[in-house]
Amino acid sequence: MMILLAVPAAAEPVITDGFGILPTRLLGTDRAAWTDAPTGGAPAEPGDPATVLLFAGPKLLVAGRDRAHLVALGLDQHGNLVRDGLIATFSMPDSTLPDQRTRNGIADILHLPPPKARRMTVGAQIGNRQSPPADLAVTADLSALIPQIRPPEQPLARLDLLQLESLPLTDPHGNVVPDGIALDLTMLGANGAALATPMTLAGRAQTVLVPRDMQGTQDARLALGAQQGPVAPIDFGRVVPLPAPPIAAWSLGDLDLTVLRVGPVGTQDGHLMPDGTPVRVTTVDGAATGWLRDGQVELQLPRPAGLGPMTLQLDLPGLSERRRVAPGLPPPVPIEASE
Amino acid sequence: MTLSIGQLAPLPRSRLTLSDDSIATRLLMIALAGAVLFHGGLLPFTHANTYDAFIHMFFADSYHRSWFDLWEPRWYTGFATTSYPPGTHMAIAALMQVMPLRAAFVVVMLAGVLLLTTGVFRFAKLWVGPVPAGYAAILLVIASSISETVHLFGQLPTIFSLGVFLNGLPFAYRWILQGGTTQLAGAVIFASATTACHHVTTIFGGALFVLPLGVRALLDVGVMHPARRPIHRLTRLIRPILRGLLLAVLMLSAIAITVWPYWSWSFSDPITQVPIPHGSRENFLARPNLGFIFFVLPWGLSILFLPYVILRLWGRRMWPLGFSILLCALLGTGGTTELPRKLLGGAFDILTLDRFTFWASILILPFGGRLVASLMHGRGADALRDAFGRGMHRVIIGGGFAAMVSIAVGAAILPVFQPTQPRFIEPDPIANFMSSDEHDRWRYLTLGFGDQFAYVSAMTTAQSVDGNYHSARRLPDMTRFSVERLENAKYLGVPGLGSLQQFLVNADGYRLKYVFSNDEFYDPLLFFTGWTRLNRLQNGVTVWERADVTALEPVQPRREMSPTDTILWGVLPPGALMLAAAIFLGQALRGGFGSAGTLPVAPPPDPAEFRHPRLVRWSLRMGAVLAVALIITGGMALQRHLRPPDGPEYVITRYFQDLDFRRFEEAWGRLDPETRPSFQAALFGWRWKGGLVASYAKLTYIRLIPGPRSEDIADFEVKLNWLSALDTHEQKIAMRAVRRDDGWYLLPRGLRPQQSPERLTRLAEVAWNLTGRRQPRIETDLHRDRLDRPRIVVPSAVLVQHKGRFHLLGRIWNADSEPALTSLFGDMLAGKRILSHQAAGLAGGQRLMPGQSAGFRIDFEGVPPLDHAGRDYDPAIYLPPVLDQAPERAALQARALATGQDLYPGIMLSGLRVARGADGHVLTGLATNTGTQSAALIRITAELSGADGQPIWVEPGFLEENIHPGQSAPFRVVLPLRSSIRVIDRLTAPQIVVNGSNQQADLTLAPPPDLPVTVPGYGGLRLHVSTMTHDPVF
Repeated sequence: MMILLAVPAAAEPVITDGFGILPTRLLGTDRAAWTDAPTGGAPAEPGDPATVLLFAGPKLLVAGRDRAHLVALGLDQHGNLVRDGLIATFSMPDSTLPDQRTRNGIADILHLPPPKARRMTVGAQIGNRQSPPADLAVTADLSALIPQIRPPEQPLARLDLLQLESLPLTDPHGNVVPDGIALDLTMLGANGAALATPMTLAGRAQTVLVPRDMQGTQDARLALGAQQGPVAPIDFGRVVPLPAPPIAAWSLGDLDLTVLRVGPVGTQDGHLMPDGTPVRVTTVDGAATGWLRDGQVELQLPRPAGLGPMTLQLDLPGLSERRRVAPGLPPPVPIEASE
Repeated sequence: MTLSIGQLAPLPRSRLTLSDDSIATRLLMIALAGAVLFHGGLLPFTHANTYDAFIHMFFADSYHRSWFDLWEPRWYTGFATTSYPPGTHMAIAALMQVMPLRAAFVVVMLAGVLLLTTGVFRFAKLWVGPVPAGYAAILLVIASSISETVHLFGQLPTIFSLGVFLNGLPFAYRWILQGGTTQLAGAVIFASATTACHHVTTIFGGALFVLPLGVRALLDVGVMHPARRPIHRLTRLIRPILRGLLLAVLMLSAIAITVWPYWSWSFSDPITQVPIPHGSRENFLARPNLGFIFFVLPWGLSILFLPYVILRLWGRRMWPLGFSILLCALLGTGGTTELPRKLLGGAFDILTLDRFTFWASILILPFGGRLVASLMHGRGADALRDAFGRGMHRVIIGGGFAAMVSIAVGAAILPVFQPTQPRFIEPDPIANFMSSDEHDRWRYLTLGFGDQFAYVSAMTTAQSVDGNYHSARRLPDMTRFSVERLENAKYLGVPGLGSLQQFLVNADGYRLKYVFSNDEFYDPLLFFTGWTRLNRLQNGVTVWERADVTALEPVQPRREMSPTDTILWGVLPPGALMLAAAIFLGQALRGGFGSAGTLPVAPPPDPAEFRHPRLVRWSLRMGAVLAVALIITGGMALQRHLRPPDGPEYVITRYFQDLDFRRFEEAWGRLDPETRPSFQAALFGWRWKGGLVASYAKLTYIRLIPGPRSEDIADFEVKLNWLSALDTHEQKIAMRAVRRDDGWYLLPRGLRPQQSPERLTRLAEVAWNLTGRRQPRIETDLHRDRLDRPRIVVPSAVLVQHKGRFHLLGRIWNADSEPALTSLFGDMLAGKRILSHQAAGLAGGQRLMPGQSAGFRIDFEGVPPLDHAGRDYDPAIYLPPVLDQAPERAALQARALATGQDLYPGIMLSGLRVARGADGHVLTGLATNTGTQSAALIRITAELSGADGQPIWVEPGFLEENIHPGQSAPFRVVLPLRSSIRVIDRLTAPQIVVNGSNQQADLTLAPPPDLPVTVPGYGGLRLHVSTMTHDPVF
């Protein structure tokens, strides 16, 4: 049997150091001298620190709770870990960190930074070698925030959209909550519970509500994580439509349909009902839904012509009444000034 | 010869008096020229629309990259290219040295058509003589089966292999008839070359082509060696029969040896997948559209030759061929009768039966050639002229030719009228994407590419979990499903979607990180299983990414082929092809393309006249009358069939189909002209209503329930079933139809009832941007540019059983100040043994803003056993995991990455109430969009806790409609009864690993408060809303 090898099969001396294993014949003079390779003597001691690596984390520290862990790793020029007992100095803004000593090439420290929310740069030095800087950040302690709603002015002006915000959110250390934190806004009222997701911006939680979908008084409260604020009642009021809005009806004979025009529907404070208000009309022949635009809506009911007056149920938020309507000719479209 | 003055010299003999061979050669030249002009002219434009062309290009590309490497890693996590005979692919690969891939394919396909033309000529000469063989070659060029196979299906190996095979049949014939080692060698070499291209052609060709030829040879032995005594009549056949048997043995050996690695792969890695549905196996009467594609179109006018075939069965020479034709014709009928299944047995469910129709259309060509020759020059022509006159004779011949050409052209350009593939997708942007930024360290998937996926695969070295050759699939998820590839997911309903969902949910296990989507249908599934839409490439394809997926190992497992197989595969098939080519060229140089030498027994010519000319004339005239009557009747029936039926049911059905396919003008045309709005107004209304059903679902079923009806007005309740990538949905709509003078129309429906109260909204919002890499360095990321994993907390998790299914669920909280995209993985354990591993799906992949918490649920599923195959379609199909032991415990791994996308907070829920329903508790409410972006799809995840405040169930619900800013839409989520949930294991801290550690410092924090909503049987309810705000699709 013949065995083919890629290289001559022969033993040769090798050295091992922090960079790995390699034959002595490939050593440079400097390295060879250091390893004392020609004489095959005992390993040499590590040299002075030539490189310091710094590992710092967690990168985001909760103010007043999380301790930063700074770990410095010292290496000599040959890549070996530095010897024990070297003094390692750590630096952090507004903090005085006691020196540490290396052991197995590593020096580390746990430190609670000042509870001021900010970004900071930390560093380490072993001997006369400094590490590259590392970035850490301290953030507000969200678990210590109790959010409170800033009650809107009551009674609410009739608005299509309501912007709701909280009181300024700061943690016990005075740190303003960062932007983009999500809270829970829960509300409970006569029409059931509601849930929105305010987000913090410029130190306050903000959200938008559509009053059209909220009626009456709602018990609202904010929550951030497990921290729940006090209940704040918000009276969304009721946009009360004026009773008996005009209803016109006419038939589309060849289609067995009756068209109803409801409106203009005004409010008790002299405005038209907001756009988008849902309207539902129900008769014995069926039901139809739509929404108000400029206070009016046209609906179609499956009702043949010639049946005479009809009784219908008109429902919209704040108004529910039975009406009797007689189909006639299509009326002209009324022109009303809006608010 | 001496001429005197005034005497004219005799005229030279006319050069136009040609021998039959010469005429036949000219006809063959015409056929070859026609093939080049017709098929060669169309191929550059049609091959990209075929089903199979790109698959063969992919295989060719594989050989082009490495001729002898039989492992292809780019499909199915790797497969052996020995799963398909390589001859044509290697031919393309060889040409790729001098031309691009698609050009090489076109050249090889054209070469196959030309080979088939000469092959048909040579084969037909064995049966019917040279001139009819020439006409047979012309008939081949204009045969609709060829058009369909080349320009619609792109079946290169089918064409090429048959072309090689037919050119070798004269050798087989001569060998059986007369012997001679040259003939034997030629026959075996051509059989080997055929097998190199497609083994099925040799196997079935042996039975359908060679066997009749062998019988024919035996009959010709009798002609060559006439004998009076019966014993001599038998003994003269012994040697030919023995030669035939030897040929069969050698052909079988050639089949085995030429593609030996294929057989070796088949035996060692048997196909255990469920049968792939194929239209050629269906009942063509029940499904006439498939009957058209797989029976009517390939036969074309050639089916008119069938009566001639039956007539000729009673002749001495052609009955073996006739029976072969009839057998193929029968097998080609698929599932229309039970006979093909009985004849083929188990092979019925594996073979595609359109190949038999194709072979029948080739086998019939000698008969066709003979008939055409007779009608052009022989007694048939005389009979036609006698019956109808000279002019009508020309009309009949010319009209028949024109009809065949028209059908052939129609078959070739059918995709122009009925597209069979999505629009062409330029693959370069995809290849560039995968080759940049080390994206090819992960696998990718394409959706909505059709068969072009194979072309994309050929253009990149990146790997896909999908593939386009189902016989090579190895992944258990794909072998159990009858989905030819994941591409087809939406066209096979929920079973197909179930397989795709498995891949998208368990992407980490498959190292799947990128999805290239050409179909918005899949957007909901992608988004709500945790995928993020990145960008749209230059070719219009959208790239989706699943973050936090483990990269492929640098050294990947592969199946090592033995050196013997490797060498055999790389040498034998191309070697056989080259030998056959050398023989073919040698013959052509010696005697012309059509020559196969002089036949020992020439086919006798047709008699000059019919024995009963009056009977023939009468038959022709009656036949013409019958044909005209049939044409008129058929035309009237076709007109009735094509004319749209009248009636409100038809109008309503077509209306919703038009909307489903976005044919808005047609849909508007069905609305009542008297009352409908303008087209722009109607279009506005349709476009305004989007969401899961309107924008991302396809209509699968329409049912009309008639209501009150008069002569001119009809009411219906319309039930629509929609299939979306998430689920099936049922809609009920009341419709009224009215009859006008010119038909029925529909009354238009109104807009949605909830609209935005404001015309312009101003809001301050928070936006995030993850910059990523900030320096153009070789390394794809730097430690300093990489964000820490956000601090997430999983305070509790529980393994439960509900309705026989196992789920691992709990709550996850983002305790960081950076938004988080979470990935959750669960293991079901018995002792320390993992029974099942699964990732969170539709109730997972949470995108959590800082401070947010949400419930998650991991549903343990498996792949169905083989006996599930073929069951009726079930929209609620569930694939239980195969467990050999009951689960006792569970383990959870959760990890998070910082994200800055898809964090829309603008959905408010109001009017939340819980009522008792038929299936459990029903949570209802109104979702309002209070933000500035349109919410295309909304998921509401309900987390139910027990009396102890710990999660006990998580249920996702999806809104069916989109919500524009300021609008509202109702929602409904069904929650199960508490009594239906059984707790198996409550996980403790050691069982939960978060971001690589099971020591969570934040576990001491109290849980977030519940909603003020009571759900009977439960302690509390929390809701989380996740919103996709991509532009709604219309």
